[in-house]
Formats: sequence, structure tokens, C-alpha cells
Amino acid sequence: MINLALFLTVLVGQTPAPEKGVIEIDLQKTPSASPTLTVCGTCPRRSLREAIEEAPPGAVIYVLGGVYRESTLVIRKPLTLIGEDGPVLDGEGKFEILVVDSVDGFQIRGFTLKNAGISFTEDQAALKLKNSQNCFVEDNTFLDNFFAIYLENTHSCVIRNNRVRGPGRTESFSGNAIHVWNGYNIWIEGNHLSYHRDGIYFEFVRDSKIYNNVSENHVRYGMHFMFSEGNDFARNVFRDCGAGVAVMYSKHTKLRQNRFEFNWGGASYGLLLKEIDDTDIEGNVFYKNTVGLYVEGSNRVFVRGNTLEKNGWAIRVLGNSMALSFMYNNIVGNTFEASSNAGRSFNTYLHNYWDGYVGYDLNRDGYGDVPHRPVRLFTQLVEQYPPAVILLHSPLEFLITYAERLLPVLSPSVIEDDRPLMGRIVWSKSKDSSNDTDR
Amino acid sequence: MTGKIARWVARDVLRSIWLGLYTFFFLIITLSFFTFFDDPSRVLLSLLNLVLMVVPLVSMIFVLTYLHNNRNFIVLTLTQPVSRRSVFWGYWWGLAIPLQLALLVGMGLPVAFHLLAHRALWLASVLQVVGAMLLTQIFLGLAIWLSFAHEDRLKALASGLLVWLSLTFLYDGLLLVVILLASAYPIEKFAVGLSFLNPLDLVRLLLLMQMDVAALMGFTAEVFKKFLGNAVGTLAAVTALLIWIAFPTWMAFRNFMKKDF
Repeated sequence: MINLALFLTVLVGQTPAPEKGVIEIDLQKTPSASPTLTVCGTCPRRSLREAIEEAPPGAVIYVLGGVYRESTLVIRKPLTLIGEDGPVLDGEGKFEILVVDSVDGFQIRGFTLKNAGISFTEDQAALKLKNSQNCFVEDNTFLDNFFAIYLENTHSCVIRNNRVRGPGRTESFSGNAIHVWNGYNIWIEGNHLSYHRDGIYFEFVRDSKIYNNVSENHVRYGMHFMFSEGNDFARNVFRDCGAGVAVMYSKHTKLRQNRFEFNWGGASYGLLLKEIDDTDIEGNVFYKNTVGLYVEGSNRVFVRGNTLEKNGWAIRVLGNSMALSFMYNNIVGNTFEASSNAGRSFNTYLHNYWDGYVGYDLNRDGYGDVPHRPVRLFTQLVEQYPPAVILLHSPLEFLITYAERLLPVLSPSVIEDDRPLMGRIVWSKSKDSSNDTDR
Repeated sequence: MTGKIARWVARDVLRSIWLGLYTFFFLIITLSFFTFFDDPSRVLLSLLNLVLMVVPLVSMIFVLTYLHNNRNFIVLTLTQPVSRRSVFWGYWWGLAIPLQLALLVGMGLPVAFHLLAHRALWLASVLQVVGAMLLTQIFLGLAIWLSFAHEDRLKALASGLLVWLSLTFLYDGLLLVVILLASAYPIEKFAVGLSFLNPLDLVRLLLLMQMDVAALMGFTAEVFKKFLGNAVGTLAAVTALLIWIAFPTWMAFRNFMKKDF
């Protein structure tokens, strides 16, 4: 409700011409709903803890600049916390900072929360929201926390334009930037997340939107989710994380126009899918990852219109995946185009542009006349006998690949594109679906 | 005296049209790679493939044919009051310097100019040129040895090609067979050990370890890096390459000293 009031204030400021069927609310005539309290170092009220205790439900607490070391603050009523001139809440490396418990309607904006303590027995967070709903976390900075934003059994929240920077410690000494356990209708937008264990971590999360975030330099995953359904990820960047992005045991997910890039290391994946069903992966860019797209045990995944460029392996599909549809993708400049451990494939590969294709197009319809087999003999050898990779870029590898060209029968046919495109696909701006994410 | 002969041989070799073509070939290829590929690592990898195939072959064939064409002149030199020792080293240096110069001009110069503008991958770039020079020296030694070991020009050429084929393809083929046969065992350390025995594999792996592609090689790369990371490993790699230069040269020298022309 508070959101709505604020939103309307902004609208009323512009006084739009009334239209038919639109109810006009003049906020000047409505009673001011929220009592306000102010906290600052020189004010009568210096303690945020006292302010929280005194405030009636629905109050707005303004906190002015300064450092507040007040161990753990627990909030059990609807409140709006507004930081002015960058107040800092310091957990001193020991405490959780803000815990919001069983609240319907909570807002926080303009704060810096730092140094939430490490714990090996519980998930200590800078901002923990549990059993709550209708919350709004905007324009805050989170620095060097164990967990930063932690939602537990919480739904209908907006987490927007926060800057979250972790301490960059090892896996067991750092928590996640945004952690959601059991929630739905969460909107995560425009955040910048870095140096935590996982950037975005979801477990049992439904019907949420994750748009325009940048998640980079994390110790483990840029994004990690499990047992989550109906989520929509669009225009996010997942960059330079220890293990890339891993999503598991989930259904009905949309991943559109994200960038998965520079996830480079011995066990890094641009996007790892494990037991993911009925999912759309469209218009993403996979750039310079050790493995661009890894698919294991997944069914009915539609991979369309993506660009996979300069990865070690562009795609790696295990044999336990079925009804995967891989169409209209650009596969350019990868060391290995595709790899699979399967003897035969139950997936569809069609109309992709493979820059390793050496076929021809006699009837000039834009599609190659002979099928493309992106799994090379050497790739297959490496898949079955990993130590054989010691021959990478050797003259022998060159010889094997050249022999395949002369005798195509040598190429494994586990992945085959019957009608590969002759030229790289360029998507026109009008087809850019940046405007059709449902808002 | 060695210097005098070396200077004379070098001047003669430098006049060869084939050496000019070799230099020009590398110059054109390296420059065009730098022009057409935006990614320096792609340039290095393409160059690496070329270096591994072309440099050993050209060094081998060039030296073999030069020595056989000049066989009569070598014999004539030996009738003069010059020691066999200085004739041998004269030819060794006289052949090595122009071949190395060809590489330095053909590949070293473009790489150096590129490095002035872009610092990315400088170690790998330097390794690329140094690796090519080491391979030249190795195959030069092998060629001199084979040339003095075989009286017959065709036999010498055939054995030279055979050595080149073995080191370039056959050895790696056997390595692959070993890996396939022993797939049930943790073979990575053994495979890395075997790669130390072939200079082409060693140069290739040393270069790849400096580049991003090392991540694709997973555990094998880790084993290699770990071994190279300590002093023993680095010493072993340098020693292996030096032995590959020294051993054929020493065999050739021994052969030359005893040979009844």
C-alpha cells in the first residue's frame, strides 16, 4: 500500500488529464497516512532500535547519514526505512543486521549495510526477510556481508537497483548475494552483484522475474537455482564466475537475452542445465566460457536464436536429454562445436549457423545441401578418453580433422544438423524482444 | 677458422632463393593473421599449427639438400689445412644463423611489432617465436646427422622425411593409442611424461599452457602445470629441449670426425 501511495504521489505531481474510466485521487485531500520519525547522530532520537520500537505500524523512519552499530535489529511491523545521505548499518563482522519477521509491507531504501557476520551454523544476512510479503528493497548498498539479501518463506517482493559486493572469500566463508528460499512473485531488477558465493540463489521459487541484473566475479555461481518453476530471466549478465551459471531440477523457466560470458576455468559452464524441463532459452549470448551450454537429463528445452561464440565447447549434451530443440543459433569460433557422450540422439538440431560447416549450397536457398556433423572425431575421442586432450592443436588433430573432410563417414553422427544455415544469423532490431517481457 | 667458414656458408645460404621464400612465406602469413583475426590468441594458435608442421619440415629438407649439394665442396675444404672440427662447426653455425634469421624476420618482427601495440599474451607470443627457433635448431641437428650418416642423397632425404613424420604424426598417434588402450587407468601423468620426449609436443604444450585454451585440457593441464610449476619441471623441460639440440649435433659431430669421405 505504501508503494502505491508513493507511486501515486509521483503521478499526481504530473497531473495527467483525467480520462474516461480513470478514478482520480487527489492526494492533497487524503489524510497523510504515515507518521514519520527521524533518526540521526544529532537528533533527539539517535538510536534506530528505539525508533523501530516506538514507531507505529506503517510509519516512515528517516535515517540520516552516519554509522549505526546496533547489533541485530528485528522488525515485526510494517515500516518504511528511508536512508538520507547514506546511513551505514554496520554488523561489525558479528551480527545479522536487519531481520524482518512476519511483516506485510516493508520498505528499505538508501542504506548501506555492511559486515554482516559469518556463521557456520546459520545463514546470517545483512537483510533477512522471513515469513513476510510485500517488501521493497531499493537503492541500497551491501558491502562485505556473509549473505546480503536473504528471503525466507517470503513472497511478493521487489529488489531493485541495489549494489551488492561481497568479501570475495572462499566458498565456505561467503554466502550468497541474493538468496531466496521458498517464495513467489519476487521481482529482482537492475541489481549489481559481485564477489559473493552465488550471485542469485533460488530454491523453491515460483513465478518470479529477474531482469537486467549484472552478476559477476562470484566465487561459485553467477546464478544458481533449484526446484523453481515459472521464473523469467531476461537481459541479465552473468560474467566471470568460478563455475558460471547452474540451474537444476526446475521447469517452465524462460531465459531470454541474457549474457553468459567469461566463465572460464577447469570446471566452468556458461549455463549448466541439469534436469530442466520445458524451458525456453532464447536470444542469449554465450561468450568465452569453457563450456557454453551444458545439458544433462533435460527434456523439451527449446534453445533458439542464441549466439555461442569463442567457447571451449559451444554445446555439450549428455545422452539422457530428450526432445531438445536446438534451432537458429549461431555457433562461431568455438574450439569444439559440440560434444556428446551418447550413441544416438533424440534431439532436434536444425537451421543453425555453424562456422565449422564446410558444405555447399548449390540451389542457393541459404541452407547447406549436406548435413553438418558438429561433433568431430577428435571431440568424440576427447569425450570418451579425456587424457587424449593432450593432443589439442597438434598436427595429429589437424590430420584427423582433415581426414574427416575427405571421408565424412569418419565423423560421428550423434549430432546432425540436416539443414545448416550458410550465413550467420543477424537479428533485426524489430525482432528484439526487449519490450515484450511482461511488465 | 670456424668463424670464417661459418661466415662464408652463411653468406652462401642467405643467397638461396628458398630461404627468401621461406622468410617471405612466414612474413605474409603472420602479417595476414594479425590483420584478419581480431583475437591474438587465435593468431597464436593458427601460427602454432603452422610452425609445428612447416618449421621442422623446411629446416630438415633445406639442410639436407644444402649439405648434399655442397658435398664436393666440403670434401675439398677438408683437403685444405683446416681442422675437421672447425669445418663442422663452421657449417653448423653457417646453416643455423640464416635459418634463425629467416624466422626472426618472418615471424619475430611482426610479432614484436604487434607486441608494441598490444601487451596481451606477450609471454605466449615470445614462446611462439622461441619455440620455433628451438625446433629449427633441433631439426637442423638431426638433418646434419642424417646427411653425414647417409652417402646416398635419396636415402638421406627419405630418412629425414621419416624422422619428420615420426615426430610430427607417428609419435602422437602412438601416444593416442596408449591413451585409448590404458583408458581404464589414470594415465594423465604418464601421458604428460611421454609428451616431454617429443620436442614438438613439448613446445606445443608449453605454449598452450600460457593461453586460455589450457582450461579445456582439464586435469591434463593441471598435471602439466603442476609439474612445470616447480623447479624440477622447468629444468626438465629446458633439459629435454637442450638434449634434443645437443644429442643429434653430437652424433653428427662424431660421425663427421670419423667419416672417411
